[in-house]
Amino acid sequence: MSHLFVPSLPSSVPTSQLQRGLFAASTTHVAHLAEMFNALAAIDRYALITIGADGISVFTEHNHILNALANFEATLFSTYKFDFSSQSSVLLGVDILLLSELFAAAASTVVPKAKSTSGGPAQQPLVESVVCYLKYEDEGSPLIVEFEDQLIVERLEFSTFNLDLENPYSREAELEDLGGLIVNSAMLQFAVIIKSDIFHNLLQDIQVLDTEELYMFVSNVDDEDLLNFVSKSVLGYSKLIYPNAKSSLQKLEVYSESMEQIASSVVSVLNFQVFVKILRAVKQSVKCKLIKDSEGVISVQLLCKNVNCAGYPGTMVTFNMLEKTTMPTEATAAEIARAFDEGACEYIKEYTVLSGGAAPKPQLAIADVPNPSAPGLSYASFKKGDDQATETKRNEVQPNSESSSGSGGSLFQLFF
Amino acid sequence: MWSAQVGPKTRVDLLPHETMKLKLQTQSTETLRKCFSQINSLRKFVVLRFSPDELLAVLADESSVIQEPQVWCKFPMYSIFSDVEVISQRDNVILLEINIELFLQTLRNFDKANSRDFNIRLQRKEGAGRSRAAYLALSYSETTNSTINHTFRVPVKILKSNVLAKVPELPHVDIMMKLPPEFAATFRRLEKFRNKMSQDRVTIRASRENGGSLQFLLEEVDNYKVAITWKAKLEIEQKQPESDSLRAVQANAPVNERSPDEPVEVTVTLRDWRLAQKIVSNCKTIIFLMCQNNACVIHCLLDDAEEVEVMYYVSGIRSPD
Repeated sequence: MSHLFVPSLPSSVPTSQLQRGLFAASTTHVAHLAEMFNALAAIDRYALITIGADGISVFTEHNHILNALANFEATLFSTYKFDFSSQSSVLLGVDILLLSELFAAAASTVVPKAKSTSGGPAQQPLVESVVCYLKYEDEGSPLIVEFEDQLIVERLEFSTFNLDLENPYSREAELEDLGGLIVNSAMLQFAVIIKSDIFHNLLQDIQVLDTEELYMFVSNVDDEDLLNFVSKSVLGYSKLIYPNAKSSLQKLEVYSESMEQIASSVVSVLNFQVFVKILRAVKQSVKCKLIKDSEGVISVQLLCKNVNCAGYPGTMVTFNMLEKTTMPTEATAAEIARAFDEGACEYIKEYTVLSGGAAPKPQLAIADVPNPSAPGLSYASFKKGDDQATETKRNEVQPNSESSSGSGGSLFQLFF
Repeated sequence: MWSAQVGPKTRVDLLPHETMKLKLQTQSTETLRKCFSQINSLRKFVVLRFSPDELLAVLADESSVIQEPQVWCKFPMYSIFSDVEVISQRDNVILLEINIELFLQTLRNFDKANSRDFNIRLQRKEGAGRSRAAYLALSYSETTNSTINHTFRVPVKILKSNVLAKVPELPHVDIMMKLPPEFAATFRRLEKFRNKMSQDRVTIRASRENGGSLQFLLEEVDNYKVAITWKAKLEIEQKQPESDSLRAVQANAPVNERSPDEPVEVTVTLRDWRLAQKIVSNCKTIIFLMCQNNACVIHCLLDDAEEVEVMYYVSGIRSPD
């Protein structure tokens, strides 16, 4: 059969290909996609893209301790066509790092150059907008990305891979079990909603300190919401207090085991090298939700608005990570205590007698950083037991710590 | 002075600099500075060829096994120097090699200083004997409350005039076009395809068909396949003048069997091509010439004065066909 005169118009796709299925979409929000891909590329080079009828999600994972998912709704795209008769979604593995760089390069033609080298007047953007076309046919076929502006047409064919990654959010996985690293929203310990810009500055500051370990302290004791961070680095310890004005700390709830709101406090230990991978996404976001379940999975949900796209609710980026399993040792607690035992710090040391006749265990206390607006004391108890990873109890009037009776592990208390 | 220096030593194998004199003065180093800052990242040393009429700055490594890209910059002497004195035994041509970064830094220092004249002189290295090492003394006087004299002595190596190869020329030009100033945008796209192996190749394909097209094709097996096409208008020279190719038809008949509409392709290493970014971003008039499966040249005029020419020559990786 001769193919001499096959027309090269894209509309005349052979029928055999139509049966295979087709995904096609176009958008002008190249810069937004570039930023989001870039945020995900911080996690791992390869990502799993799930294309469904109502949008695209990109999932990536780092060493099984941190994963990230970005959801792009179909409304981000000016045209969106998903035509796979047999499947509700298609999966493809891509090199997200390369993809993010290419999207950024394509977007950079629109953005004026930061500074003219000759010191002349600021340069006008070369083009007004870049249109991006996405196309994918079926397993094994490349992902085709095309950028078009007034000057350049760039057609990219990316090989797609079969990645050894499973998106725990996909429906198939949900039916089987929740084995993946994903926060269990039925067993939450706390939920915090904050503004992202301050959080971003705070994370940057923590990063500058060369932080190794980060303690996140959430408390709503005495009707006062507190979100504090203690950074442990080679330099020592530093404490950063997130402002608790309602405009920046929009919601802070601490839950009991039965998911009822209680007044309590929770301390989480994070490996900062892992945690900081959310930084790029935080920069792009407007709102941030931090939640943690009783199994030590911390989730950071970031809403990244795209101001240029009216009617688009924003891209949702969700990070899930494991809390560092090593609880701070007593020596560490003592170190922290020493670090804050200067000047106007209030030093507290007390012993709690465990109920049930157990031998009294020393509780290392940490001095309070001068914070005149926080007179209340709260206890965050850690247990080394495996059943309940962390449990907190407000323990001010009655110092017999009932919550810790079940476990024989040593106790660590942080006083903020 | 000329005879005094030649004198009794003429019979002996003369040291090149013994009969040399290089004395230049300028009030503005802007052109030199602008040009050198475009090419300083390409190589560490630049060969300067001074003659009474023109200054050539050449970045080329003939000794290299792989054909590296070459840059040739041509300055007419009168346009950049107010006072020119170039004397040598070899047709009044002085050829020397200088560290481009040191030279450029001195030009920048002069620019920052509140100074009028910039002087360039070739000086012998004391006690150097027959060595071809010398200095290029770059001096200027800064006048604030008192006068401060600055002299920078940049070591140079005087070269024999036959060291310099000829200006690389394309065997024949298959396509020639004028690139718009916005063309630099394509480099920003190509930038992202860097590979640690630096063996990436880019195929440049140009065609006269449908008003002309210029494409960059890249491929990394099992990863990506890219085609970057210039969409905006291109000014392509329509057809080569017949008379010019008449002799070429005789000498090299198969080449000219090409139909003018046939696309022209040159494959170069991506790294070599990307080095042209600075030149293309900063020059005013940019002409791009290609020779099928052989080499390509970017020929630019530095500024609106159209006096300084910059030529970037990239030899292609020839495919066996």
